[in-house]
Amino acid sequence: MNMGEPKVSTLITFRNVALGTLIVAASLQFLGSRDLFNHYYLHILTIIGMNIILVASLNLVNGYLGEFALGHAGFMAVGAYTAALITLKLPLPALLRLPLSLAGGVIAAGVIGYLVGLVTFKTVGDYLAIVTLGFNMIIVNAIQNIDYVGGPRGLTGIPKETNLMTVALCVVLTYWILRNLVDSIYGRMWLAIRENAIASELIGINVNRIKNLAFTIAAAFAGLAGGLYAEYQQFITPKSFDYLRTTDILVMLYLGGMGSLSGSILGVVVYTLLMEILRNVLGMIAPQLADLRMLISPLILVIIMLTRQYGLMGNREWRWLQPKRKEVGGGDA
Amino acid sequence: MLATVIQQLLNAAQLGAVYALIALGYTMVYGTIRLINFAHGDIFMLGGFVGFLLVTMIPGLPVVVMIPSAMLLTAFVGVLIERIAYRKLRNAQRMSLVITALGVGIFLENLVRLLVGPQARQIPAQLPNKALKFANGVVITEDKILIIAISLLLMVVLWLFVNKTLIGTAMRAVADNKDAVQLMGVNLNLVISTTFAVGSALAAAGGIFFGQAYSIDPYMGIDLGWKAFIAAVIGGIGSIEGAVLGSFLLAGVEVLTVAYLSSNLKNGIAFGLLIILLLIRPNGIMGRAELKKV
Amino acid sequence: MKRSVRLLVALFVLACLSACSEKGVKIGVSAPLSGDIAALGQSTRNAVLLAQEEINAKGGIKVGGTMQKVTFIVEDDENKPEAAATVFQKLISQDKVSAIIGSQSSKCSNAGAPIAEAAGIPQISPWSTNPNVTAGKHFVFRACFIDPFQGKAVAGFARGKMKAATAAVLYDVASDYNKGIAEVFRDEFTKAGGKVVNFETYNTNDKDFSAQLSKIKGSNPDVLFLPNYFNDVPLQIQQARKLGMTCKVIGSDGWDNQELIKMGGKDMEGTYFTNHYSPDVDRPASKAFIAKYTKKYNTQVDAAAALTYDSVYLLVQAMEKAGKTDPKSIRDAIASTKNFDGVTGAITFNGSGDPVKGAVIIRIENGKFVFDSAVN
Repeated sequence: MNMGEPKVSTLITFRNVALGTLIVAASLQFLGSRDLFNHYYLHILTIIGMNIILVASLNLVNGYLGEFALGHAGFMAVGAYTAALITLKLPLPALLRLPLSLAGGVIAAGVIGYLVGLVTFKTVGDYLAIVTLGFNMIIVNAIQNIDYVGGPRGLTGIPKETNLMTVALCVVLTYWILRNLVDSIYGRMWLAIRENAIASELIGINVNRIKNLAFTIAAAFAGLAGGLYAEYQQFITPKSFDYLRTTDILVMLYLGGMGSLSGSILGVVVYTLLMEILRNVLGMIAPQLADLRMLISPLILVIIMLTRQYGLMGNREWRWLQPKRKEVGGGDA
Repeated sequence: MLATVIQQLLNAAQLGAVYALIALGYTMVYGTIRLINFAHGDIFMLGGFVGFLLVTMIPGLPVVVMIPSAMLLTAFVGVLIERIAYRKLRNAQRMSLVITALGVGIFLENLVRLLVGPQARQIPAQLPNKALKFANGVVITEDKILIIAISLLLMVVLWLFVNKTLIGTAMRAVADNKDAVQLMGVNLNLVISTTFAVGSALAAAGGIFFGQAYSIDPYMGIDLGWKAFIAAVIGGIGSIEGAVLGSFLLAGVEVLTVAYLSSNLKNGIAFGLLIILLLIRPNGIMGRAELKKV
Repeated sequence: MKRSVRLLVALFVLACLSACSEKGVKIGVSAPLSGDIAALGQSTRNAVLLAQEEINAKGGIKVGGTMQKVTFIVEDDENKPEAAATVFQKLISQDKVSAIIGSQSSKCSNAGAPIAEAAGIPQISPWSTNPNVTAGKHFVFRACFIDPFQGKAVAGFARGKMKAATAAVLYDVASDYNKGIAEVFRDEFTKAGGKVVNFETYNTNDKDFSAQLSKIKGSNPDVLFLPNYFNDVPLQIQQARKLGMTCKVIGSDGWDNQELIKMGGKDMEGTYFTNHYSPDVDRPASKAFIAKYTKKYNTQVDAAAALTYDSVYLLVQAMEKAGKTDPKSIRDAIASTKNFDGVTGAITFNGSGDPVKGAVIIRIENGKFVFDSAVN
């Protein structure tokens, strides 16, 4: 046992933070249903949750693996449409609707991610970026041409299965999996590939297979976020998943810090809150000033990047997300 | 039949010329400081608006004065942006620069929207645009020919600039090895500023031509910027010849897909073909495979 | 850094508190102030603020005996469904509005409608034409006609007065607005005995249509149908004319904006489009609005402004008729509206959120929109 460590910080373990999050989410959800908690805040928190899943999963590929993938929204689209179709078209008992549709979304996105990855990793660097972007465009264009899912008019009438509680559960699940992955041998391999791909190959890592592993997992989680999104907004349209959406995810990712799961949380929270705070504050001062929101937010973004080059967290982690440390000398005697 | 093919090829050539003017800026900046300047599409838009404002505020301004002036003003803005937003991050990790560039782009879009208004505008006809009809039914307007010609001319001038002048050589040297160049006593800041100036000027020309042939609006840089970026990469990012080639290739694929396959699936098919191209030539058409030392 | 963050958060809390303490009737507005249809957002806000001025100058809305001032809270939905959802949620839960006017694009209305419906807050969309927006909902209305009606009107005119045997269509494949009307037109035109020889698409933000138009030129149609927005149409017609196409051109209500004439110039002469109203028809309601709007904003009225203005007054007269400002009463009052005399025509609701409304065919003559005929 470490002597002299303050009691409080040992309470901030992953498990406790996760439990705490779930309890808080459940309470806020409950208060909201009794109209005791502002639904607007509930909405913001739910959006933040879904974006955290998106950003953290991309972090796997762009942060830990060190690639420059530009097509994440495409996998979100696959997950969203799959989940939507499952809830809309299949007769399922209400309790199973959400888990089954999300599972469907995850699997579909994962499969597409795997296939795209097979092609993508034949290129590197910025060329890889273009290939992933190309697939994003292809997926969106394909959906636009499938009239069964509404084409450009989108899919309406999706039942609302997602709420803050389910999103919180998914975020906790995502982080549990991602953190374990990052701390595992796969995480080591990804970092090795990022630092020096050729050397990694030399020591026997099957680089393409391991890269595709990260890519597939990231795509699967994007599908999860997509499914949650579809069953929250109850309406999806292909335009919501184009390169502009991918850009949004990238901004939040790099704002938080690449290779930092804590950064993914921070980046999403800061970016989302910034936009909403500006909306509320500017509107209060004068209606005309509300126009300036889209001018001030990119400015703040640039200033942050100029002052914190590596993002808000860099590649550091909060204590509770750091790798589990083995007790040295003494153990738990 | 042949007439339609020629017609469509001319359509592709004009679109390709516009893409090329933007793609060149991307590729030059990338070549020197490895930055994908996502604000570049918005510089293109800015150039178009500067031209528009010059024409509307100074009636009777001859086109031979308006175009170079707009190019100069936009070049100045490009250099300013580099100085304020990018210089400090020059040695930082690449992604910070990318995000900063994205931020600058969004800022420019909304600045123009708030200052000039969100409506689309057309730059009043400055270039002669009589429609020339050929015997076999092919129709092309004079301004289309002029745009293709002037664009090609600018590309030739750029090639000469980069390959035959001292500062052009310096730019190529910086693209090769930034640190060694400084050891040789070359003023790195000057070279990079010049790169931005030239790239922005070219994009501005593209914006003005675009504004005359089509229309300009504050958000037009997004789509075209991404297309030009893709074209530059397809051609082999960092290579000027590649940027031009990639642009005409992308435009050609887009136009021919619409003409002979299906206009609904334009994006899907066009990008599918481009991905296949990248698989065959993973470093772009003219790109050099970089040797990595272990 | 930390100090400015604290300041911002404090201001945020203050803003939230102050929102709760405003008196009078509050109506939320979701408008595309930024993004690709920002021009329409501007018109929306103009119309809303003009209406607010007029209403408050008279003392406000007369609800159940008392005069209450009205405040419109205009928020930016960026023409993105996610932003629209956030805006709707904020207006309902934070600003506690009694009703919402919005959005303009169908995709934003589709994102906001479930929220309004669940919260029981009446929503009137000025210009969303996708039938899905109101389908199956009690609290969602619109002030415009829907795609099926408009598509049929255009097809009828093309076959009838224009005597067109063949038609070609060029529309935006990525947009919810254009595709709906395009498809209805194709079906109705074919049903009426015509033949659609080309059904071409482009992507939003494309400016070069030469490829598609060259293809269309090859089939030599009698009429070209362009159910697109006013910023794309002039380019499409210009390019068609430059290619040597001389066919007649017809469009839909997305044309209604003076920018069409400004950009299109002489190429727009002799073209037709369907619209909600005609500015030259002698209707006191239209004329009064047009005069006030052009005087205050120094710009012409467009469809977005006119429909928004009508939505506002639809709402207001419903509130006055209901005598109460609780959402359910407002909703019932809107649903029972009969022959509301709006700028864009007479509006009646017959048991659904879609109004019974006629359309007019406009002809462009000497750079002006001129009434041609009416469709019921």
